[in-house]
Amino acid sequence: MTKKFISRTEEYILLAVMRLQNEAYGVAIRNQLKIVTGETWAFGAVHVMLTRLEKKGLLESSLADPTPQRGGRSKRIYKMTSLGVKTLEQIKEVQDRVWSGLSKFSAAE
Amino acid sequence: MVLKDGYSRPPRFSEWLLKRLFPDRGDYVLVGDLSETFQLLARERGLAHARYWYRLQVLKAIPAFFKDFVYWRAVMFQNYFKLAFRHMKRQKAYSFINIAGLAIGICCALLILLWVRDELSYDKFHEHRQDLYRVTCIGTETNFFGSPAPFAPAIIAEIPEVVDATRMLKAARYVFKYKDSVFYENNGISADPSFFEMFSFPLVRGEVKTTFSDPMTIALSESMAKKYFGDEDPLDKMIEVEGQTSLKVVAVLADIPPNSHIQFDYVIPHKLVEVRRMYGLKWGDFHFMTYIKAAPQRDEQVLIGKLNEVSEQHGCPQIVQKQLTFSIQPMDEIYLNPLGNYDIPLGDKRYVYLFSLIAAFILSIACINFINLSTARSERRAREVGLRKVVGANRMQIVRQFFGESVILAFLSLGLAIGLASFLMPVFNSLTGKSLAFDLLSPDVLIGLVAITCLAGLLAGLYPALFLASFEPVNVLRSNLSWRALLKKQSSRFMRKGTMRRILVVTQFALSIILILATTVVYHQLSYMRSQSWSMKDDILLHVPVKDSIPAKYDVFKTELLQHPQITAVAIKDVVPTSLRNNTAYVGWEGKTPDQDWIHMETTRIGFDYFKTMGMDIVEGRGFSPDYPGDVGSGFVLNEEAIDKTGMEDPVGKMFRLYGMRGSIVGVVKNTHFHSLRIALKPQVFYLFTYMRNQSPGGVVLIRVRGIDSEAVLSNTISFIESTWTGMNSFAPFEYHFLDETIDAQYQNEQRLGRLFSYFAFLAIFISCLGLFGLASFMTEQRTKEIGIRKAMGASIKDIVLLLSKDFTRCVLMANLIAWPIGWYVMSRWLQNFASRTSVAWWSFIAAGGLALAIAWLTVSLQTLKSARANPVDSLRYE
Repeated sequence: MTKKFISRTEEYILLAVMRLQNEAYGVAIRNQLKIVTGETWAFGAVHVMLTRLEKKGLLESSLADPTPQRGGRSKRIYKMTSLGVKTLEQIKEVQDRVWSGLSKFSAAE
Repeated sequence: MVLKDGYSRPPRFSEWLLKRLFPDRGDYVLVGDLSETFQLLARERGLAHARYWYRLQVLKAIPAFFKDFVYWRAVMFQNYFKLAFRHMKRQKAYSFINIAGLAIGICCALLILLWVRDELSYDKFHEHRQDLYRVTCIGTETNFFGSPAPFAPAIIAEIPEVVDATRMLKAARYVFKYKDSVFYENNGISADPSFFEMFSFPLVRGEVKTTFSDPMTIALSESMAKKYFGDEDPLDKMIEVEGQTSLKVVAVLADIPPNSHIQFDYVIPHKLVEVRRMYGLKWGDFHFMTYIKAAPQRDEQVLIGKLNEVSEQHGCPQIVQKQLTFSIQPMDEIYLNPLGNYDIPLGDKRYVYLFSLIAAFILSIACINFINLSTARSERRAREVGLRKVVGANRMQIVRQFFGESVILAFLSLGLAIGLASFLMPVFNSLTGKSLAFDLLSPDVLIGLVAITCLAGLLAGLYPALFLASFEPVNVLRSNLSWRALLKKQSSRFMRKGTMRRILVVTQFALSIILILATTVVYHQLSYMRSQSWSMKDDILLHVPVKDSIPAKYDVFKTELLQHPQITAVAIKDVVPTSLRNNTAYVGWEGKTPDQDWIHMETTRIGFDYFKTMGMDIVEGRGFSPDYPGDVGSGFVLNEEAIDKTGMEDPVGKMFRLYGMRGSIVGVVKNTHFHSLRIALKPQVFYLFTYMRNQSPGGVVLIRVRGIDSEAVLSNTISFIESTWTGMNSFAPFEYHFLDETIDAQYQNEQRLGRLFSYFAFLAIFISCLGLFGLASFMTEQRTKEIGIRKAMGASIKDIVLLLSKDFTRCVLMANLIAWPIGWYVMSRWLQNFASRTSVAWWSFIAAGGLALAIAWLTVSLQTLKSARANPVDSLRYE
């Protein structure tokens, strides 16, 4: 398979979706990102990324039932596709290779 | 703001704005996300903060929105605009044809819509129009609007639904005099005092409530008051009528608006008509018109029932005999639904439809031009579209570009059309006999104009826009692909062979041919009506009014006139021959069975020599003659139609009764049409005046003048008549009319229609040809090389011209096939309006088709000849 490189932001979002399992939708993903990166993300930014990833085929989405908190609007729940999982695996591999042997960092951690 | 179950609502406006600006996939997930976070914030940090945050989010989004949508759209629009103008400048001829064609189309549509608007505005100004009705008569043969004099008082008294009613009658042509101002007044009515309360004709001066019940009064229109009294105050002045009666001016009315079907310059009290016994006042004499003001709560059917009941109880013979039934017609439907013909200007609903249809025809012909030329030119734009697509334009943007372009062109045409329309307004007014004003500032005209233009622009741009937007950039940009190959690749079979374009040309010409056909039929019917109407082969017939001392000294007048060598016959008659005024059902004849239908006869009082003067042949028996003293008071002459209707055989010598007058039939005269042929020929009875003095005021003296070659002799004869007249009369000024003109005047509507049709047909064919010219020049340009090669191979000019016009010829022939049945159907329906009519002649089809074909050829040959004669060397070197 061809190697797909994705941006660091996209990687964060993919990981967030993966971690949230069945609860991955706009607000939850944004919260997760805040926890991980310590920064507040704009909703727009999150949505643009999600849409792009879905277009690339790394994510898929479906509409969940509307909730009163959202003023009667549905959540769009995102899920990893197999391509998405594979891409993450590859990236992990590459990252591991890139980071391996640099123990100074791991020590500092 | 905190609702139950802890839901607090985000700021409404911001939420709405967000939805407008970013309709993400339609499911508003983003809005939902924001809303959820808003809830959280509201709970944790308070509502105020949450709202602040929410608004900030929306505010932040706005600049991006502007950048993404508005700004880029504006930039693109500017670009389209510039491009549209560049294209126009580069192809001046095409642009001119496009803009001019559309401008003419819009101008036509505009004028017609103004006309239609005016037609529809009739009688809308009456305050009580919802409750006003006119009484009509539904007869076995014809419908008309007449009613007897006692009818109105009876229904007011006996029917609770009738709040008020007025009788109305058009007055005869009287002479009015005040000091030195003496004029004939043609346009007056008599009415009951309630007339002023029922209708909204505002008074300028005076009042009618207390005064108009006096029979010796009159109310004048402002302009008539001005004509007689100038700057004097007209109120309480006496105005002299016919030299015998003086009427007191009690009120001045504002001039009657042109869009009223009741038109008059003065009103005299109905009572005067009754006092003077000018017309029959019994239940069987249908001389008057009755208008009703009904109660707000009413059932029209019940009301109609009661009208008939009351008339029957009073013994109205026509109702008792079930020959007529009364009905009613709402005020605002009167103008467009003419019934009968009582000298009242009337419109016709069918003409309103017809002309709206023509406006649509002409506008669509102009739009078709636009479509055709734009698609024909699309080759030149194909590369542009391709490139636009390559650099990222989507389909919608291309569509928008072409729509925009055609709307811009349409608005340019609109500017031209407005100029043209205001220039043509006086011509159009004289054509239609209206006084339409073209005020751009009135909102409905403005909205109408913009709507027409947008519609025309969008309609015209629809096909080119969709067609061009469907180009695949790869095909368009591959330079080695020829246009034809491209079309083949690109378009469906339907469009490939220019089928669409052909269909449009066919439609265009079919519409033009229908209009030409309509024109020929209208003119044909007109000339048919003229040929059927009374006419005098060699001689000239004049008529002068019976006024002043003429009734008293008629015999002297006649004898003196006959002294003149050119005057061959003179006769007096009670009304102008075209008048439909005198009708009665009070006739009886020998052999009439009780179950036989009553017959409505036109009664005609005449003097001796009438038939001779008019050139009407006696078929049986004889005409009236002074040699038979019994003719006066007991002699009748009937026309053939009357004999037919009564079913009498051997009528001469049979007994006949008219009103209370008994006598016998002395002769039968040939049927002669004096009325418009819209109306069926009427049974007519002629009888002699008993006393010359007892004249109805509309009488005429008919003077037959020998056919004269020179104008000088005619004017000499007329001045002889004038001097005879003035020698006898002191009061009434001399006037004369030609009878054939009086008869022709009845066909004013048809003449107008014919003229309008011919102009519209001309315009339609002109616009079609404009388009055809553009199309032909484009097609020949396309085939420049082909023509060059053909010529080099030995084709003659004739061959080339034939080759190039073959296509168009086929289109026009097709158009004929479509237009003929439609035109035949429409025009046969139109002819149904006439009691006496011609058929749609076969030659008018050939003429219309041939004319269209000839004009099309002429147009195309302008182009084809040019290219056929070109030197092949030049054309082959081309490119």
